[in-house]
Amino acid sequence: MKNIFLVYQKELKSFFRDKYTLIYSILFPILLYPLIFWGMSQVFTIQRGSFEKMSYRVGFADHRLPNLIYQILGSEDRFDLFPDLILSDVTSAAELKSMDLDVVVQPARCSSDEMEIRLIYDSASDRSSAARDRLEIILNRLKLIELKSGMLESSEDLPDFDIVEFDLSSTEEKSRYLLGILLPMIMVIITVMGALYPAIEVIVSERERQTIESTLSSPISTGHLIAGKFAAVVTMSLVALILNVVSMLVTIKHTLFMHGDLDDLNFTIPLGAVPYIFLGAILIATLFSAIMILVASYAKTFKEAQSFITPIYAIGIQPAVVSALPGIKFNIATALIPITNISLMFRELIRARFDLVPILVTVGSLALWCTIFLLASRYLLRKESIVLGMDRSLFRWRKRRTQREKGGL
Amino acid sequence: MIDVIHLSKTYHDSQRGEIAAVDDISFGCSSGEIFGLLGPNGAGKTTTLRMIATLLSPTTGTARINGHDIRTQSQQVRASIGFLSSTTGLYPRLTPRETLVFFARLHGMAFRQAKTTTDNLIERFGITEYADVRCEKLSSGMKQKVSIARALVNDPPVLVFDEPTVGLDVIAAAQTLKFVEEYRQREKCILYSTHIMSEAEKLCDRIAIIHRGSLLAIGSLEGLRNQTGKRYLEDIFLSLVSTPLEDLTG
Repeated sequence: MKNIFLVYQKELKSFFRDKYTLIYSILFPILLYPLIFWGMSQVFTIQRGSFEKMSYRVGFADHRLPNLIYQILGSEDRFDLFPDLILSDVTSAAELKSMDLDVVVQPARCSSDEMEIRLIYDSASDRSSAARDRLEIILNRLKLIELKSGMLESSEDLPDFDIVEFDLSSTEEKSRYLLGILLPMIMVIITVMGALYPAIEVIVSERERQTIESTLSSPISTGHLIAGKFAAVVTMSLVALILNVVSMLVTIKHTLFMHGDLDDLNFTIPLGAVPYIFLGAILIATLFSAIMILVASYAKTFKEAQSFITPIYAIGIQPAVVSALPGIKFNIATALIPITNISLMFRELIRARFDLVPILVTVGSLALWCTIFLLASRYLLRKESIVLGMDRSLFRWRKRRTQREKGGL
Repeated sequence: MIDVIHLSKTYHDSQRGEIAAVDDISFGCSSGEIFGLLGPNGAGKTTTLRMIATLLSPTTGTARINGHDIRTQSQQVRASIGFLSSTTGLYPRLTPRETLVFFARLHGMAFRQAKTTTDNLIERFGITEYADVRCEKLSSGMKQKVSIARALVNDPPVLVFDEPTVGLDVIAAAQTLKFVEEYRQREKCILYSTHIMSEAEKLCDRIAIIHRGSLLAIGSLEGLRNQTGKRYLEDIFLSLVSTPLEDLTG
């Protein structure tokens, strides 16, 4: 028992004397996670705010809707009603979109005192689903008031009614919409994770094993050596992405077959989107490989490199989460936000939406960031002190300043 | 073959500030000669050899290896030397055969030529038995043989060995010394750094004693004996390092 305690005591002493354990196990969660959650709550607030400000365009299938419903819907600021635009038949999500409507209300009188109100919407559209939700809330409230009070002032205009939802989106659209919620975020996370350990391996492990010396004493330029390593990290990241996406799609397909209500969904990525997704994946893999190689080059050991890279990973994947939130659009503004842009681009491509301008802005912006980080890592890894691992530390500038202050060299 | 001309290296140490690791050293070594660089740990031996192998750039001065300048012709210098140090590792997940082919190809050999060269080296160094076993599973003696074969893969005219026997058992160390002697007979120019006096005594044609980055003396063992009046290299070394630098430089 005494020996166990002695070992326990020694280990704790070592942990608390290791600045990296202290920083990344204790200080990091204390400071970083509240920051991440604060950031995320800000995004949620903005997103909710934009949803609340959003007004929905409502069309009607005929004139038979009771006047009271027109009046109540008309009094809502968030509805733009188009009662004069009478639609004979809306049969597809594309038609709804072409008429620039979010939802269509179609009354159907079943008898003199009973009717059905059909809400025709597109479940593969955040806007249309939100419009349907809002309409449903208002109509249900109206129904509740009617039931409670027994009769409204103009009850003759309002027969008993049922609300029926009619989803225009096809199975394919629905499947891609669902896939577009989670897959882009997961794709970014996998790409980043795929680069993480290879980046440490090619830089830090090689230095730890001291194999870099023998390679560098051969007639190979440092630039070529780094380029070879870099290409290997990017490849590993892409391989991880491809294998994980394929595995995920196969798993989803076979798991959902077990659920009766979901087995008609077909989770596939549109073929036309694959080259764009691959290009995006190369860019994101390149960007994170460059960042991770850059950071790993300052680490003395594998453990230290892991400590340095963990915060980058934790922070880096946060912007990708945005694509899972409803109502966030892929436009020029969001295409300029690194990581968020690629996640949104993946989402749109999975949903078979090819909006070329934001795609080009995303590719251009990521290519610029990649170039910056590649040049920075090339500059850094050409320094002999970094390549051979001599006297480098993230805190070196601080030590130098302290020495100068003390009157040292 | 090797001409070191007023070579210096200064670097920054986070604890000690600016350090002159190598301070204005000059020496030469010709083919068929083993030139020993003898000094304690931290004397500047490894830094000197790393500069010669173009792994580090000198702060001042230069060296010419097989006629090529280390500052301006690093690729040609690297093609002319075989570099081996005690700290040099092998890629653990590659086999000796794959390692040798990789380095042969880095030296510009075509795949077929690299394979032939590798087969020859495997046979010459007695690696055949474990040529296809991953390096991580080899003993230190086996690894050292592979490392030496790796340094010789391009049959370089100049060999730079940095404490190649450190960490080896007696048999593996003796085998290493045998290889070095064998390569002297093949007219290679060998720069051999060590802190083991007996090795320097046994192997080296000429010895340079280095301490705190400066060369204290250069000569054959006989010459150093005459200079210091001591018989054994250990006594010679101790008498030189205990002499203040000012007295030696006049």
